[in-house]
Amino acid sequence: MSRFSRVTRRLVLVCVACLALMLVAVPLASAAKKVTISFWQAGGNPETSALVRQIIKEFEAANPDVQVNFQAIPWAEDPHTKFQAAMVGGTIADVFTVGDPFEHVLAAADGLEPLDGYMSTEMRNDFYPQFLERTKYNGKVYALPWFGTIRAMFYRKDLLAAAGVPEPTTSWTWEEFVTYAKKLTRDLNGDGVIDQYGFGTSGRYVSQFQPFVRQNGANFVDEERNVATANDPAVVEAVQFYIDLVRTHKVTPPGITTINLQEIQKMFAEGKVALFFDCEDSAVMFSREPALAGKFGVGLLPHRKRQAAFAGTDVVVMSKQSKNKEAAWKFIEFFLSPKSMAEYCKLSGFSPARKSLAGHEYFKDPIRQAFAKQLEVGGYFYFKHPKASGITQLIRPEVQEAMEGKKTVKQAMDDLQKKLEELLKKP
Amino acid sequence: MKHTTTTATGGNTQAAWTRGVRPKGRRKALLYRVAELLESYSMMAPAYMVFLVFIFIPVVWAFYLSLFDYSILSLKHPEFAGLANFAKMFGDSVFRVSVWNTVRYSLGTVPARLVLGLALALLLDQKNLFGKNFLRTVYFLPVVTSMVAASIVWSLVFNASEAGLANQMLKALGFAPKGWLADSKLAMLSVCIMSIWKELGYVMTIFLAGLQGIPLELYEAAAIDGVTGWQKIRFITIPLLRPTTFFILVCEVIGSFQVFTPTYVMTGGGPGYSTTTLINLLYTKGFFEFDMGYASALAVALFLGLLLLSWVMRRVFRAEEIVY
Amino acid sequence: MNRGNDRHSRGLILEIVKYAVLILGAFAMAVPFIWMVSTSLIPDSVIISYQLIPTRVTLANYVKAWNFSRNFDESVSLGTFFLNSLIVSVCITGPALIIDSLAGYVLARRRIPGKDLLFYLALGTMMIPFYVIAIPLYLVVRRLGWLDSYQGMIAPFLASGFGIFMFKQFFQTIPQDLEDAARVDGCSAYRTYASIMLPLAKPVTATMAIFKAMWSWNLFFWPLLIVNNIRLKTLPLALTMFRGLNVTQWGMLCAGMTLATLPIVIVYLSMQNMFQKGITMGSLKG
Repeated sequence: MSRFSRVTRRLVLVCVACLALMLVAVPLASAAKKVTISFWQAGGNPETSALVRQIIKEFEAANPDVQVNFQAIPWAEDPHTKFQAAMVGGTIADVFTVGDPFEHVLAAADGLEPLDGYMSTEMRNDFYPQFLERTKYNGKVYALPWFGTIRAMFYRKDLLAAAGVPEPTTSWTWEEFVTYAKKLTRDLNGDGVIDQYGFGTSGRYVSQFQPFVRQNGANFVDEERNVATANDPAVVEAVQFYIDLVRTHKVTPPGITTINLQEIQKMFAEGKVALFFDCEDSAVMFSREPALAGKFGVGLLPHRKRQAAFAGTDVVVMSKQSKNKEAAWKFIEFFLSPKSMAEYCKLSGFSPARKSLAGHEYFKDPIRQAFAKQLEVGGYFYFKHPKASGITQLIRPEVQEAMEGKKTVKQAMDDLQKKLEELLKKP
Repeated sequence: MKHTTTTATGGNTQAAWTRGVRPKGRRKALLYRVAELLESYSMMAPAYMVFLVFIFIPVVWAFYLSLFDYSILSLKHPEFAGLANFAKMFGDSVFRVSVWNTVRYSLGTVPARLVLGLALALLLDQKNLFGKNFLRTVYFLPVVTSMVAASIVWSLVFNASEAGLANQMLKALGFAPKGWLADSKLAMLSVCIMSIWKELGYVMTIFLAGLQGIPLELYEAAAIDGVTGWQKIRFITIPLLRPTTFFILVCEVIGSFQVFTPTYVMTGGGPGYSTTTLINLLYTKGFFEFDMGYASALAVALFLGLLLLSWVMRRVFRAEEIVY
Repeated sequence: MNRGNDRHSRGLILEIVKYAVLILGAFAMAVPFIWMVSTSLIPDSVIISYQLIPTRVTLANYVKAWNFSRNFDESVSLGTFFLNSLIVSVCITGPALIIDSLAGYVLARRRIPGKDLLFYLALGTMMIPFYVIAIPLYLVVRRLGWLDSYQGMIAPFLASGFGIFMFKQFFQTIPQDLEDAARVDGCSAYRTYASIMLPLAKPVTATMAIFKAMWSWNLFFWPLLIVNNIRLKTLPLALTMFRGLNVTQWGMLCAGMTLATLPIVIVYLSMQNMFQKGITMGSLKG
């Protein structure tokens, strides 16, 4: 009997303790007098988040009446999904960053505060117009660009030299690109198995093949007219070119339909891939790798009708639900100030969104300049459409099926066209 | 007071109640019965409160939402859509593919887990097996790891390059490397292999439990009749394990129809739609295409489908002997 | 004589085959773990290769994994996430065992109107994919004001159909006499439950405790949805932080995964005997 009740008592005790804990564990609230705003960052890595915290500290020192609660939500946690849930639940942060074009989704959902009224003309004019235009929704500025990013061509200097291929400092034509990629696809030890591939890519990311479509002067969706254009001959031709790299010319490593980009980066670092498309933060990563010192460079993507590379921007937005909009704006102003922006871009490798930083000495580094040049000669943004993420979900599987040869490119694009029409039809 | 009542009538009340006859002139017995009922319900209350607030209300809500056209984009003005979200399923080719994929996943994992799990349980149930506990532990280890971590590790095992463990093994055996997760013919198989690995220990453990329920005398009697090893399994073990098998089958089928994490992490539903399961589709529709109404309808359809499936399995299995 | 020898050698071969299969299978089960641990010991760089036996060993990844989160918040280390995971697992497992077993007891032993319906409702909860109710559940938890809190992570999982089912199955196997005796002694249902049923159910409780602990330790999607505050994050969420958009540090990730898996493995190993007993005592005999 006593043993029984001891067990019971212990269990009851545990229960009571748990309940007590739940009551005590009140969400961490802060002192009442100060105005507290919350700031969420979508993405970020430890280093950059440490810097963001530093910037917040500086802000708090300059504005003692405002306290900022900062959360970084890494991309692996699907921050945009979380933001949607928080928006639905009315618990969204006062200020947060998102990856373009998600701001259009939130603006379309009437979740964001227009910022035109807050901004000084001077500040407005300092942002690169292509970024600012990009983030406008229905003619209003709902989001301010924080930094820009572009995917340029990474190349292995040593592998190119060994194969007698010039470096892509000027933009190659598609034909040159194929020729060089073939030259770079080699069986180095003569065992009949290819062990170095010309071009690394992945069917998992639209950003890996959309550039070819844009270089051909086309796109999967005409966002201005809100119509699908996936079976446009120019789209089919470009996708065919991409698929041919894989299936006909065989210049890509095996198994790239669903591969993670990290694997391509790894192959590049190991010298198994000579060329691939990636953005600034990878350049920072590679430049820290002693084994790669002096062996890699960044150049321009190939072109056909025009030059085009996948550009993006992360933007700062203010929630319409915010109860402290004045304080929130103060923070945005400070956070996007040329000084904070320069520090962030310097650390992360991304491109600043304000003109006043153009002459900054840091950006004279040749790799940085290569990205800047790519942006200058041709950078395009992802679909400026509230349903951009849905469009991605539809494009990817069709291209993967064509990549596997389950469908012809024409068939895949026809199917895609139908699915996109269905998606865009809904308000 | 109560004590005496209990002592005097406890057994009788019970008997009377089951016969549907109210004990006459025994107000105390009735009072006692009410008190007893209150007591019983109060014991169940916590569990059903939790269910009510965190499952039943959300389920009803999901049913309700499935009748609307709504998303984060139109949250403030959901439009009543009637059964349109359900009708849409019939015209949605991706829905059909995802149903087929979910069935493929189920067929690819559940029978293998049952057969391998039973085989392992039989092997590890032997009395004089050396290192029995160690082996049981090793087979159970994957069960305790998180699905996310397991999926990450296995996506590297099935890496399509030669560096992947699976391809290294193929190479050692003299075969050509395969595309695994990058090949739509093998992607689902790869996911299934991972998933079998992850849950095998669980199935094995439950079969081990079931094996304990078979009286030893039966085997002894069989041995006297000259029944050999395999026959013993065939004619004694397997039939007697029926209830256990049924339990595992139902749980595993239900579980397999809800698969999400492995496909989401390992392939993102690709290549093409070859590993897009129902929940993958639901997640995409709800959070990427912003069609929450359709996502809710998919959820409701899945729920109804599972109910039907469990009912069919019960009928097929004729498991009346199990008291459910 | 000859035949006996023959049978003997055939038995030996069978025996060898049996062990070979078991050991090979065990190896296959263990390979991903071995790989995970060895990767966690290899110095981290872009060029790490996947090897089963590391050639150069370092603990740097563990240090990095432990301190990783300090970049987001100085006061938060992997220890914080351990503690959070511990709080969540214990607060789910402890109360849930009582709640489930209480309901299981009533369903198994008490006569109440609507018992079948209630039992099927409990079983039905097992059939509802979590993703189905994620959004409505989010809205419910928000109304309760429990977003970004321990309560929010814990409360929805305090009862489970599986637990109720297991306890019910077990309690049905306990002879009625035991309970009747208690009744004759004038015990209330609570007393009977607490002093007779629950102690008998100790092994089943251990089994369920392991299942629940394991499962709550690995909870992912729900906390992912409702927790933003880094101080409240649990281990599985912390692991996703290690996977950036572009740059994954495998060594650190594997170190983190190893550290996150270790506690639950230790719990399993230490409760293994009880667990096996509980499983074999009949709750799962069907």
